Amino acid sequence: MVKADFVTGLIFFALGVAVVVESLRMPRFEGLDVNPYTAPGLVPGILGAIILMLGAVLFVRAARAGGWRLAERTPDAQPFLADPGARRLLLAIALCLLYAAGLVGRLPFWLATFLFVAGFVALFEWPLAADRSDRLRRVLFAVVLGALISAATSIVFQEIFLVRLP
Amino acid sequence: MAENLAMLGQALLGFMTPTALFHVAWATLLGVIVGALPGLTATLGVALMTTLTFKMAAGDAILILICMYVGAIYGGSRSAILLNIPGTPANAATTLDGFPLAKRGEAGRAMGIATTGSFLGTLIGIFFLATIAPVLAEFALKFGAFEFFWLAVFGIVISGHLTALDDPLKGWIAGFLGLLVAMIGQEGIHAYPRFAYGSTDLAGGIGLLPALVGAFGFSEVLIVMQQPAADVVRIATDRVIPRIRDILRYWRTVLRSGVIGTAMGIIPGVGEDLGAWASYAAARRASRERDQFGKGSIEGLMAAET
Repeated sequence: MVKADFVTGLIFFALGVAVVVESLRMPRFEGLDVNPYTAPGLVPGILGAIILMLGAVLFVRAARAGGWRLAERTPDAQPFLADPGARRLLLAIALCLLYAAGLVGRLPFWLATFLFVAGFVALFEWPLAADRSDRLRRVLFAVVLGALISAATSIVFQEIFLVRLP
Repeated sequence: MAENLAMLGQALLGFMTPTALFHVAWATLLGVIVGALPGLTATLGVALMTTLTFKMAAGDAILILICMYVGAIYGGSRSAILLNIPGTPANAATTLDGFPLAKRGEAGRAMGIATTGSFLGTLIGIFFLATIAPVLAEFALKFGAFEFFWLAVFGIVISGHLTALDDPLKGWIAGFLGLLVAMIGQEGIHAYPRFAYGSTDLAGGIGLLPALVGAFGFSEVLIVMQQPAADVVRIATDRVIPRIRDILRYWRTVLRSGVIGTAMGIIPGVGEDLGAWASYAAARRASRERDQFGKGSIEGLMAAET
């Protein structure tokens, strides 16, 4: 925990510094004869200073508890990736990113949602299938579920609630 | 004060017609569904209902809107307890104690407590609304910028103490980081786009709903996906109707949370979520079983929902 705190404290310190620098760069509107307290950089500057201080406290606390010994017992990437839970997690993140960044803007919403839901369910159920017919059944279930969910969300939000979907 | 209560009684009698009760039934049911779905909030439900109730008589329309709102705030506790994803921002505090209770197999009991707490809280709110609302409204209108500032600082400070009572540093970092993320977008006075770097989407700021669904929903989905496909927890027998003993034991918590919730509601600009968090924090400080909080404490659940 102290190693994570050490690095995190450093990161928050850097973030605080970046925010303070950025808020100092914001215009102060002096020429327009405004109240100096309404400068846009005031609140981010204060928040940046606070995060800077809190990050420094975290960093110092972790450093005192011996967190600077970063090299000892660092786990490699290899055993992490071999863990099936970690692989599932990365797959889920990758699929969601693909849907949000890749599919939604470019395809019509119902198509993108159908592909995403069907693909997600099928990919995660694939290793659980016992044999060929079971696998086929699960993929069919994924396709039906995807179609249902895509149709339901599109119809409910666009026709009943009159909300625009991307 | 007495004539206010008399007027409340008269209005209640006026609503005892079959059509009004039918409206109450379907509006509350729809509200519970809307509240239980993460991403749809109570305010959104009310907004969507206004299009439907536009043509109706004023009394019926307000009845439907209020039932929708109450149903939605309560409905969020369902997904909060069962899925660890709060349905509305007001139920974020319910996840802390409701979900551990559900994991222990006491989901029915948790839902019963949430329902009862919500009902009692509504009763307390109605009582205060009928009796002292005009006076309190005048007081609340005097709330100025100073008071809002202190309220915001109060929210951040209790976020620290809620995460870990003895070491609030990380909670404070999280709170101030949240405030910093809220800085993205055009600021209120000069409309100068802060931290937008030329992107119009960022200049609009980060919406509350996407952040809420992302922080709670997305993380819960990822956590669940990481675990191997587990069997659904089949709870065969569990009491849903709460034991009277449970409720009577925590009557102080109920009263305190009801009052805090009403006070937070009267202050303009403060949302229902701060009411939930403030009553949770107050209950934790005053409780005799405070280490149970966060691990499935009935008192915490009661405080958060009332």
